[in-house]
Amino acid sequence: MKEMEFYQDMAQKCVRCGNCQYYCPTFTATRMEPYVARGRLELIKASMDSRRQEHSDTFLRRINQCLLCGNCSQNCPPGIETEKIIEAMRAECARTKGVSAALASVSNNIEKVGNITGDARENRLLWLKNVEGLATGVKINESAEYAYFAGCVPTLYPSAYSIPQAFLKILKASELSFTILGEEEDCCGYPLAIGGLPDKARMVARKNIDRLKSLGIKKVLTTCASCYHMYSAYYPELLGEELGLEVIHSTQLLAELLSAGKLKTKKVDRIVTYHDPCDLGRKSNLFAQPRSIMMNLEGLSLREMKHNGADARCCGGGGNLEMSDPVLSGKVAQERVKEAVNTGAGTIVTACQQCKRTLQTGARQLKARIKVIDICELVQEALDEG
Amino acid sequence: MFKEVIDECIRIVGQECVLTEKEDLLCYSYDATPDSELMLPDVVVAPNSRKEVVEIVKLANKNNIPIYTRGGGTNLSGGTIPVQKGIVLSTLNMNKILEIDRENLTATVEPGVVIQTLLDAVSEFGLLYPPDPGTVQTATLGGSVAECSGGLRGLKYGVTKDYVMGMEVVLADGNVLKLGGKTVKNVTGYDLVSLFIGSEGTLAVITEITLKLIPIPEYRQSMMAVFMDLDKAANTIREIIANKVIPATLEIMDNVTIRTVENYKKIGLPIDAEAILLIEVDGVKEAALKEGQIVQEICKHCGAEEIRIAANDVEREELWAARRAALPALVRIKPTTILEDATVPRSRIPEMIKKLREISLKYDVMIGTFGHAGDGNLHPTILTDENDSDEMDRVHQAIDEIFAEALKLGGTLSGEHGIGMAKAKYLEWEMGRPGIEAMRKIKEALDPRYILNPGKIFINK
Repeated sequence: MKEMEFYQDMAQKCVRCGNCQYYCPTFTATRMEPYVARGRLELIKASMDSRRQEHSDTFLRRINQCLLCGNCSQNCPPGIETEKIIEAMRAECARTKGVSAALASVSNNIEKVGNITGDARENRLLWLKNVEGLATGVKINESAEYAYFAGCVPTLYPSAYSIPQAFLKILKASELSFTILGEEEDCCGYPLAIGGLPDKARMVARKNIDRLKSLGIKKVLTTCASCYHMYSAYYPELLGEELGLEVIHSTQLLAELLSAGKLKTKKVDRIVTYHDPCDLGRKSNLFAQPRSIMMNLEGLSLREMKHNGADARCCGGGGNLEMSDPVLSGKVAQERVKEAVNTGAGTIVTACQQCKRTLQTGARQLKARIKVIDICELVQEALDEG
Repeated sequence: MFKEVIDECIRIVGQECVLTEKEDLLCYSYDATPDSELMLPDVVVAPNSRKEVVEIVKLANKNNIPIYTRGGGTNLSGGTIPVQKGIVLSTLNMNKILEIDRENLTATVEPGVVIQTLLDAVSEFGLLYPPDPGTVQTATLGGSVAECSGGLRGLKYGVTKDYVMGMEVVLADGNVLKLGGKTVKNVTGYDLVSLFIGSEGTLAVITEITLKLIPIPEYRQSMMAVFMDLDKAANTIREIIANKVIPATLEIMDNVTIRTVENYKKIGLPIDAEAILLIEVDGVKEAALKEGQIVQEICKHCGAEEIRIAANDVEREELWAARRAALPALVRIKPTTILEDATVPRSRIPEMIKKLREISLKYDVMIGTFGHAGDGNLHPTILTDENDSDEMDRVHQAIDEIFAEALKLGGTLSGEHGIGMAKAKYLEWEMGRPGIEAMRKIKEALDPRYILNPGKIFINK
């Protein structure tokens, strides 16, 4: 993760064409220039030139209102990677004036108990204990071929329990050798890394990798797109070393299992649309796997949204925006839900619990009749347990 | 600005539609115009209705405060920069398509509707709004009408002014005018609709527009013709029109542009060509094919080195992607990209292109030229660095000469981008003193206190 100094020249390349307006979800939601790359870059330029813009409260607020989705970057004529510049500026502001109270609280929780909520560590197993018989035969913190890194949200937010529960049922049905990490899991560090606290992120990165290595784990599985992106893209850079283990997202594993015929599934009668999480799709290039899964489910009809794949619009859950500005996050989510509703599908399938939560919020605010489920839940639903 | 004025703005449009913090005002101190002065406004307001616009205008007029109307802020002439501070009036909250009338083939929109949004909506009915500036995805119809945008389809289909049938505007004194309408013909009173088109926000604030639509052409065929000799390309353009074929699009890209795009996109453009022509014919299938055949024969006859015809939609998309990549490719070369639009009569294009080359060498500045060869609207694009004052001196001299030359060839300072701040100093060269005085009389009749977009078009009060 580079510092602001590295990006100074890049920020100057902005020719103010305004093309980013078309691609930016926060601009679409607000129609105001401070909420688009061109405006944010101008603020950043002003903080480095004779305009002497300070890192004021408003400055930090605007820098924190970016989703870091990167949609602007892939369409920027001079090729400016605005999301990286903003992330670097967040780190700079963290140094000069500190972080928001919300992020400080999250950081504190992670430091003390290894999770974003401040829950007691043992709460990380509630989702497992919640379902009768689910824990039977499940290794916790033991050596195995795969380790399932469940993440903070699925294990600590009851409304998200259904995702790790579904994934675990699939893992058991697949007869793969796996362990979960339970209480010993630490937050992957994502909100810290993107919030301007890379050093704190490095600390949890070290802990997580060391723990996995001590168990002899070679393959780490996750159902969270952001944890996946954190492990695969950020960890090697933060730690300055090759991880020495494979990072696998649930969609990759499920796609493989289904096309190899290792899971028996029954017919699924649903018309769905798929929302590509930014961290899985645009940032990690994993578009084909979820679609392969859905193609292998008989009876499932997939209708793509107007903006899909690399062009998918962020759900509003990225960039710590839900933490910094839940109202704006909700507005962005509503726009994405509108696109989903326009496909005529009755269900949005996604592959990240954060996207699921945010889209559910948007659907609720719009009073839209559309369900949101994770792809693990879709596959588990289709498992032929007969 | 007095606190009372800001409080009044908040009362009129609501707190969420007013921006007063310095950090936010900074985001309205610029537009897409390179090498221009920036200035923070005193406040930004985003009205939600014509009623709110009227109240804001009256407030500004009463207190002698400038109003800078702004849509996407994507213009290239400094049209939306609030040089005398005051109120930036954002139209972006007025973004409803009010009506699409399939019988009368019209669409009525609020000024903040982005052009692409309209295109998407009318295409569902098999209809098209032809003017397509490069910024269709971000420019608003209010801004597009105020600047009279052109676009790639200008040769056959005309420009914005050919499609505005009516509008509603708010004058500086707060009076509302409803002009024109859905009738195909209307000669009632002075043609005020035409007056406001291209008036760059200096005569009124546009609050509603009725636009003409046409059926989407049934069929289209695109091709690229490669020339090793500029005169041959020029002859081709001349011959196509002489043979009574009016292509929907007839674009040119010079060698500098071709090389830059190829370097960026790597799509197999002929980097040794002196020029390429990108041509599209459209219409009823049989007619389009016939025209396409004629165009091919003319290209061959005039000495095209190669003719590539798009065999399907994918190839067609690739061809036009090359043209659309011209500006994005050029902006990567140097820190500052100045896109001019000095326009000449079609017949003088080869002379203009040659002159541009001479100017480039004379002042030692890099110029890539592409543009709408069919209608004479070239875009000489100067690649430079704002921070290099020596080079900028030469650039400014080069630009002076470009305009002088265009006028000498019977052309005009601006085909599409408008005068704004960027070209105000050259206006007298083309319009002469009496021309400017006539415009000033009109301006002062409608806006005697110069509150609407002051500092644009006219150099001084």
